[in-house]
Amino acid sequence: MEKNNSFLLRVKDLSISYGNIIAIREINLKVEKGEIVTLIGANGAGKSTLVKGILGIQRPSRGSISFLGQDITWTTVDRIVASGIVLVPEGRGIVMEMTVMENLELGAYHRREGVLVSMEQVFEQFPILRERKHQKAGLLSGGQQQILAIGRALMADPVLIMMDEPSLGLAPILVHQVFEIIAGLKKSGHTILLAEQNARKATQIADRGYVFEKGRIILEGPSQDLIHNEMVSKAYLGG
Amino acid sequence: MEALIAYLEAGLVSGSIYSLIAIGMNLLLVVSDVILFAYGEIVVISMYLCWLILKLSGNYLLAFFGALGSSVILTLLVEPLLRGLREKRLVVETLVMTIAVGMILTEIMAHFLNAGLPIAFPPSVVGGGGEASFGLIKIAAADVYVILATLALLVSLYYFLFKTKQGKALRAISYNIQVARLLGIPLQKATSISFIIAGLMSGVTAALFIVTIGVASPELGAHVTFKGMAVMLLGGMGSLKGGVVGGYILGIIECLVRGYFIGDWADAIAMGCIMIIIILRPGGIIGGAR
Repeated sequence: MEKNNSFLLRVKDLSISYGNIIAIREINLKVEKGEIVTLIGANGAGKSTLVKGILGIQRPSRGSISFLGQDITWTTVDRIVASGIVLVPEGRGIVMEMTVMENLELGAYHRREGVLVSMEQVFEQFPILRERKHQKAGLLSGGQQQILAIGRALMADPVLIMMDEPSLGLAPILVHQVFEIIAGLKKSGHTILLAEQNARKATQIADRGYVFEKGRIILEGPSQDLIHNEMVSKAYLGG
Repeated sequence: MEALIAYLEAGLVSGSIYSLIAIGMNLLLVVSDVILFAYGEIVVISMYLCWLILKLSGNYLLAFFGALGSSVILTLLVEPLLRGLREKRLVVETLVMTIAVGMILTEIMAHFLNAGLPIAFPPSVVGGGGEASFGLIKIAAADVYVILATLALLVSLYYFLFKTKQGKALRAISYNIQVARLLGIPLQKATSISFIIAGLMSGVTAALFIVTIGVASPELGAHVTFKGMAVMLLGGMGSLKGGVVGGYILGIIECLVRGYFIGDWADAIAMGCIMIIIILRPGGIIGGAR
């Protein structure tokens, strides 16, 4: 009998469909505490669907998801976030009409205490947010909004941080900055599940990875193995 | 000149009430995606309830709380009715359902309450129990109650929406419901809260109608809903600020027309003004040119 409690997150034989179209099938995946696990693959390969499925936005048609030993396959989004899984969404998911500070506060919705301490920590780590804390978030640049989205995720004091395409739409220098931040999060003890099209950068900072193609996982392993895999190298890492 | 001030004062009073109605309806729209066509009917049936309790018990406090019972009616009756349709994003069907609820409430008033006759509140209640005169300008105690109550509600609502966690969550939902969902904000809870707030506001509105107009009839319900919709359009659908601005504009226009024109032109001219403004600024006064 497998021990589920050694993994933070365990996905077993998961399938998710949109109506009649099967988006992802037979997904088996695990995330251990303190790791960065990356999902790489082309646009539409299913990475985003899996992330949304874990968060509870998409209902699975088959399989199971367990978090900290508890089955969360049918748990509602609000309970899943309350239990410690947060998402930095594709496109940042910032509320434009609210201020930087209000956006951060939303991240702490499920917390009862320690909110001010967390906000201070986020401001320490990302001084640009402190500078603009009373500005409407819509006035921030793309890179700053990405930082705000990450800061907001940290406000939840999360157990597992999921990120969906954090580098999308950012200039190369900002992409570098974002990945540095993600690597830094691991150093401070966070666990990260990262869905990324930028396979090169993602495999550089990740411990392990899963390669998605047409809704299935076709390869998995330590990122070093993926980097040196010929097929992956040609298809996703620019040869 | 004195007459003008008198009309403006009356306009402020009815404008306050219109604002409260529009805000209640707008809140339901932006948080729960519902245009509640039964809102006015719920205000009026609360007036009927209040009248009934006063008649049966003579207890003013009890009757007042009876009026506030609107929030109970709204949340327990209407919200679950609409839930299924809302979840499936059936906008037109939701609208029709709220119209149906309004009609049912009107029919209940027309057949089962006071045999469909208009109700009138005792003079001890209407007018608020006193008035002051400054020449042509008469200010009833009730007028002061209306202004104070409206101010108190607006300030409380502002505090709730901008200074509390739950209020900020409601605002987040009004701006971007998808993001709010991803953040794990419980949407059903927010909907329930918006219905409760709308209910409380409709209850206070009923009480304010009682002390100012003092009478009600089954037809009044639909009329109030209609005015509420007009203010929503005028100020901008879903805009709370617009509800306040639009409410006062409508109130003042109506009173000015009633004062200076002979005949029952108030409604027609007020609606005409609203039509013109919407043609020029389809998004409403606050909403803008869209």
